Amino acid sequence: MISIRNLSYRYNKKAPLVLDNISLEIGRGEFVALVGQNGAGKTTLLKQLNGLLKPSSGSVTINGLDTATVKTSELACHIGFLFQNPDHQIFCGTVYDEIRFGLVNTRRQQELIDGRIRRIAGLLGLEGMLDRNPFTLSKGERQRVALASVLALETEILVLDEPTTGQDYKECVEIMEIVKSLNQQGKTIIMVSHDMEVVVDYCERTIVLHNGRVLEDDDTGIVLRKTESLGMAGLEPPQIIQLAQRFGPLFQDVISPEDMARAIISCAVPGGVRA
Amino acid sequence: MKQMLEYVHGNSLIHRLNPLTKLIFAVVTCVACFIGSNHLFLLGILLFTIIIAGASGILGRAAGVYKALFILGLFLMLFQLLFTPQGRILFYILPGVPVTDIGLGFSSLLMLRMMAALAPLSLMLMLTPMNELLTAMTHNLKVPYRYAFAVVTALRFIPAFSREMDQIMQAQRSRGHETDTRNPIKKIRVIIPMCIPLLISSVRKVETMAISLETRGFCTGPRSCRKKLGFTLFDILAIILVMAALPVSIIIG
Ligand SMILES: Nc1ncnc2c1ncn2[C@@H]1O[C@H](COP(=O)(O)OP(=O)(O)OP(=O)(O)O)[C@@H](O)[C@H]1O
Ligand SMILES: [Mg+2]
Repeated sequence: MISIRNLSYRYNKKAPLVLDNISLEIGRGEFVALVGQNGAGKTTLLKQLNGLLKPSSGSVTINGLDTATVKTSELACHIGFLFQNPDHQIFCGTVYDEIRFGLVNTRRQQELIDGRIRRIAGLLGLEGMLDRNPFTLSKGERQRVALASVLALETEILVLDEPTTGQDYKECVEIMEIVKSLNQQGKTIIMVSHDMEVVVDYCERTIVLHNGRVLEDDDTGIVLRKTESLGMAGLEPPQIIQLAQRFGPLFQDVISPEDMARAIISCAVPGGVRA
Repeated sequence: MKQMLEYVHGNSLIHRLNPLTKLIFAVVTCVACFIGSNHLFLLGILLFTIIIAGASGILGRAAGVYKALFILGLFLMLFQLLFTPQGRILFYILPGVPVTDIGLGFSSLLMLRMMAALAPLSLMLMLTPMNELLTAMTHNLKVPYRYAFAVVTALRFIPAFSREMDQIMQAQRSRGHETDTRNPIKKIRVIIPMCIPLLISSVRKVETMAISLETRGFCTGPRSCRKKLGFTLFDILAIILVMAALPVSIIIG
């Protein structure tokens, strides 16, 4: 589905490599987190996926299309892209037009568009704001407008650069639940997040990027226990895992509060958990 | 188009010139281009700016500027050609549209003049950090800070503007709008609807900036500057050299 081979990238000839020989395969329906410290190259890597940036060397193919030759506007039918900064994404005069923009471009049937816009707006709690100018909204609201404009396209692949930053806890959970349900419908999700709690709760696979290289790439549960690699990338595992690590080997599989409860009970009650 | 007028960092002799020298260079050559109406003279100035770009090691970046100027000049020349029927007919571009010797001479002069007059200005901007330009204007030319700041900020907005445009185009592209087409007519058609969002977002930016200036005490007292900008021997030589262009342009006419 997504295949990256020996991808290297520099912003210009004299600049250092921002992405350094990256190879990755991401299959249909995966839910991948991309983590790493500021400046690690996460955004740069994401922009390679829909051809906003083209490889300096190596190749990126999306559903068999080589991003070096296919235009971003064509890739837009396959891949939805949420920018890190909502202000870089929003340019229309009203929320309604903003969500509509991509739908018109990808030549959907006109009659269905209005319904789709209202459904997406409802999903993200924007139904009361459709006529507002996005710039008069709060940062968190703008972020959701940007997300709505991407989700409206219903692409098979969603690339989300920090979809939950700037959201309060409730909104964060709501957004992630929407993304999760899309994933359950078979969509491939790749998202950047600095919030390890979100990563551990939602993402099955985690890729740690450090100085433009892939430092770790495995199941989230496994990656988040590699304290050393995480530390190198300036990250910390979620508290629940840190706590579990202090409890010793019996707790090594714990990644959620439920696991923790089960592990504690099985320690306290010899013979294991009783339902 | 991107970053065309932005300062390119470097440490060449020309970079280290007093900003005032560079300002004089830009203004004088620009004026000389309008006085002198001679193909060779204008070509000479153009060549001179290219040498300067080379000597300061920004030829790569400047090449983009020359290319843009050339395309603009070509359009200008073409129009002028079409609408100058006087003189001896050399050949026909289109049936019924003649190209004359006067037309060719005049339109090529116009093109050269446009290129030669604008190249030094953009070079000056690429070789002078904005804050040094600001200091030169306020301390040496005694321009009131408020006005100097306005000029410099306006200049600084040009690259910011084009970056903003790039940003919006990226956003549109990633939602299926064909801003990445190669067809120039189609490109113009997709860029025009962008002008309004661009304008709105830049007005907003100006507003934010005004507030930010207020909160940081803009124009509330006397200013100090970090770097004393002196004139070196090289500055004086450069100014003399540049000034020489004026009498030459007048003599050549
Ligand atoms: N347009 C650009 N031109 C030149 N260098 C750039 C550009 N954009 C980013 N960089 C550089 O590339 C490197 C990686 O940037 P990138 O935006 O991919 O980081 P990131 O991992 O997304 O960081 P963050 O967590 O802050 O979003 C940084 O060192 C940055 O300075
Ligand atoms: Mg980023």
